[in-house]
Amino acid sequence: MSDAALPAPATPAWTARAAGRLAGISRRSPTLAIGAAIILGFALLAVLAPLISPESPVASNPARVLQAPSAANWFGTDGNGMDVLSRVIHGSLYAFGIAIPVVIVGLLIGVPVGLWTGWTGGWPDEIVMRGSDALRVFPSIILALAVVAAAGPSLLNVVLVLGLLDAPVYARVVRAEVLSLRNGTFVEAAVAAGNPTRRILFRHILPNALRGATAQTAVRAAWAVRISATLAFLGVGIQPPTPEWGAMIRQGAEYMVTGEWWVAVFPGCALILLVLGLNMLGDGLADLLDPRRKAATR
Amino acid sequence: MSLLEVRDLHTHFIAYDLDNRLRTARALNGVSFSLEPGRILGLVGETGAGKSLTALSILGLLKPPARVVAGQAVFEGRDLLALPPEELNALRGARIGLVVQSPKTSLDPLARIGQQLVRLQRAHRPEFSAAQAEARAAEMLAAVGIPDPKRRLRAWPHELSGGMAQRVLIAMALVNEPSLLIADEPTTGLDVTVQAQILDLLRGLARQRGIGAVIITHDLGVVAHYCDEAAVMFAGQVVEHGPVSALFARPAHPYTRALIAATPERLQLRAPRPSGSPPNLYALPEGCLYRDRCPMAQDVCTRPPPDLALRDGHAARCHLAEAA
Amino acid sequence: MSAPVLRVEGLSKRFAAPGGGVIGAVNDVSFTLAAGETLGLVGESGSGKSTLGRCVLRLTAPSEGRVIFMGQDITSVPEARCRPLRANMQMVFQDPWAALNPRMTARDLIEEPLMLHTRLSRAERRDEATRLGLRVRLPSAMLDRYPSELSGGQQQRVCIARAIATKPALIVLDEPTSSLDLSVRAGILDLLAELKEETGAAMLFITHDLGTLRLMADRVMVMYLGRVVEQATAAEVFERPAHPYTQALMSAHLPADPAVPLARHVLRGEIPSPINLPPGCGFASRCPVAIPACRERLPPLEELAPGHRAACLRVADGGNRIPS
Repeated sequence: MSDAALPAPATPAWTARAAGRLAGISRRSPTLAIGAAIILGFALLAVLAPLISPESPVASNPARVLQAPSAANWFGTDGNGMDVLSRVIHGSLYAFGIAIPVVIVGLLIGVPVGLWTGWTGGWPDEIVMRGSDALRVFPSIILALAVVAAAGPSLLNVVLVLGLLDAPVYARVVRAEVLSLRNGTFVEAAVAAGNPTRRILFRHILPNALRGATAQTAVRAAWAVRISATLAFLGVGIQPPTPEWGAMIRQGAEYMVTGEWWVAVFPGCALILLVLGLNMLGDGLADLLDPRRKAATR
Repeated sequence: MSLLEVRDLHTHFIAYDLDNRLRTARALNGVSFSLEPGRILGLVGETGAGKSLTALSILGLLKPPARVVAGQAVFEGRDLLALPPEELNALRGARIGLVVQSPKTSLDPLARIGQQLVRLQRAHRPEFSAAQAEARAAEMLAAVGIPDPKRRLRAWPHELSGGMAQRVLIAMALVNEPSLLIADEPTTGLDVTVQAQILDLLRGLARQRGIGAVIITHDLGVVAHYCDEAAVMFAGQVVEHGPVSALFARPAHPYTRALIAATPERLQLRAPRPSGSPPNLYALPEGCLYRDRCPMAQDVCTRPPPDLALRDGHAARCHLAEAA
Repeated sequence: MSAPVLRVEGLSKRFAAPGGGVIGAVNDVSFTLAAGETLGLVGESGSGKSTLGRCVLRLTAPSEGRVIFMGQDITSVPEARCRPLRANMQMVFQDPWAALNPRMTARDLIEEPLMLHTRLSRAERRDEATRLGLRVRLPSAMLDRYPSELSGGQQQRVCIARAIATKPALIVLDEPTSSLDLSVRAGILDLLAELKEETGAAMLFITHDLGTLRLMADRVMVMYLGRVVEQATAAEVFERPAHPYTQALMSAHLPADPAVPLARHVLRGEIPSPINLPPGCGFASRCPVAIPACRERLPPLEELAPGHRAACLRVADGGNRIPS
């Protein structure tokens, strides 16, 4: 409304300012705040896993196979006598270890492709977009299954395959933004000022075209966590006894019928909670990252 | 009795910012004006002065975080701001017609013009039969100068030009025979040669039907030639109001004078003129809101200025109005 | 005056219409522009004035005709070879908010043309940007702000600073003040008038507002439906408008003074669709003095007096004046 500077408030300590900002963001978007809190919780678990987990996640003990939750083993023990709590805690490390690289691989492939096809249009655009359509027609789980089964079930393979499958999502959102920016006035102004194409693309268009992709990252990380767990559950991803939630659920599923529910339920809850948190973070980011919106509420 | 009397209307935007501080933007700070039946009032001001917000406040169309915190808007003896929503709803589109700025986006793209006019009539007058309402719709289109109205009832909004769409909106605003018409920038975005047609039409219909009208505009030319009265807004206040002839001949508020001096035909390039930004609505100063820009500001201006009555219903919210 | 900075010969620009057919946005336009001269290009929406401005700067390729800039034919020069020329021809857009990259500070934006077209070091560019900022009356503290933190007038000042940074020989201004409020507009016009004198740049000033042209332009070119209908010195156009369209356009302007009577020739209808135009004068469908011949034959742009040309068949028989 007004361009006059706001009255400078008495500068509080930076901690108070940060706390105020946190509270302000939580009030604007509780979804974002809850999502971020969940992710932060899991990130702490992952980083501190070696320190806080009561036991080694792969220490088997034939003397206490399939013990129900107790004071000694809060989440009980599994078929190998391993402590489920320790395995769930370490599992968060694997969840992030897959989700973050998958998102990075997806962005590294998807963003440049979206930028290029959105700017040039024409036949490269057609080919890439039809190609990505074709990828999307297959259920991604089937595609991932096939490739991982063929290439071997290593962590690296899972990451590469999921990242590649995810790239079209980023390519699409970036392309859509580039298309609308390409004919926009400030891009025309950049041409009129004499900018070379490379600078127009990277200085003027790219920074303004990343909003959608940024908001997508959390949602896509949730997808990566879910799919990698599914792969492990189906037995083609990460193999036991690695403490990965999907693999743990697969092991635990066998015991469900005989009443030893804790082996599968605890990693399952962890998985649901993390996926939920990531999705909430993604939704909140999408709201908050709109610079025009920020200007309007200034 | 006045048709519409707005008294000391205050509307604030109250919201928490990203740093969790509760902040209040005082967008309207005491808007007062009145309108007699059959007269046309021009509500004029620059961006952010609160013209449209005044209309939205009166009509109960504010969206959070904006809310009316004080004031009255008495229309035909009833305070609109105190009415329950359903009663206000019954007035809007019936006793009060509204013409908005962007005709193209204000028409339902999925309904024919005729359907929209019929729908609007039957919403407020269930006793009308579809045939009656359609006949009146055609009459209304004819009245706003749309050729071949019978056939045009079948037209879709996207088939209309900007000027035609604005005529249809005027027809919609008038079809339920309101006694008050509020037109928010009715010609902004139209070509100048079309602007004259629309303004002639608006004024003609208001006169002929005895409707009181408020035209919200930033164009002093529109006020000078199509309004009987003018109210000049600055920073959420009416700083001067009165009959158009008096207001243009003897502008009493320094802001009005600056505004008139900045019109293209009066503008002297490279002459000294008040500069500066409008006041910060989050931290309004005490006293006159214009004083930072005012070339005549004095010590007395740090106190809130009175609404000084001059001659012939002409008044200005300025300590120095009489001296000027 | 010296050799022309810009010479445009028989320029046309056609687009394919979405539903088939051809839009003749600009048709056979010729003019010259000398150093230090300001040519006002006036017309309503759809007159092709903005497209013409873009063709001149090679932001879009003309369909026919030639654009000769500083003695060099740039009509079909590839974009890569146009780029060094852009130091000498710059543009200011209508909506400064849309024309500024929201992720760059005012300083980055002003430094950009210097970085592209000069060999100044980083520190020298910084100093120069500060100097340019002061020149357009933006205090250096403002330069570290993003466009969203500046007011509309300040944003337009950033755009102007960008445009004059490389001391261009030609500046195209596309409605530089029409999105701004009256009091802000006055300041921008002041600035442009100073720069015109100081830099000696040729200016192509595109607007729909005759009032602004009266202040800024040395010569005026009036466009209707992609064709030039009248061309003369500013004084001549305002005193003796020859083409009926120019007369109508001038009378449609509403002076901000109720005491000035309106000599109004309200035109009927609206600007026709530019798709597949019929033969004859484009204005014939709305012209109050049209004769049958107007619909058959395209009137040539003929000289009435030295430097004053109009495209109207009725000029010959003296019937071009619209009776009031």
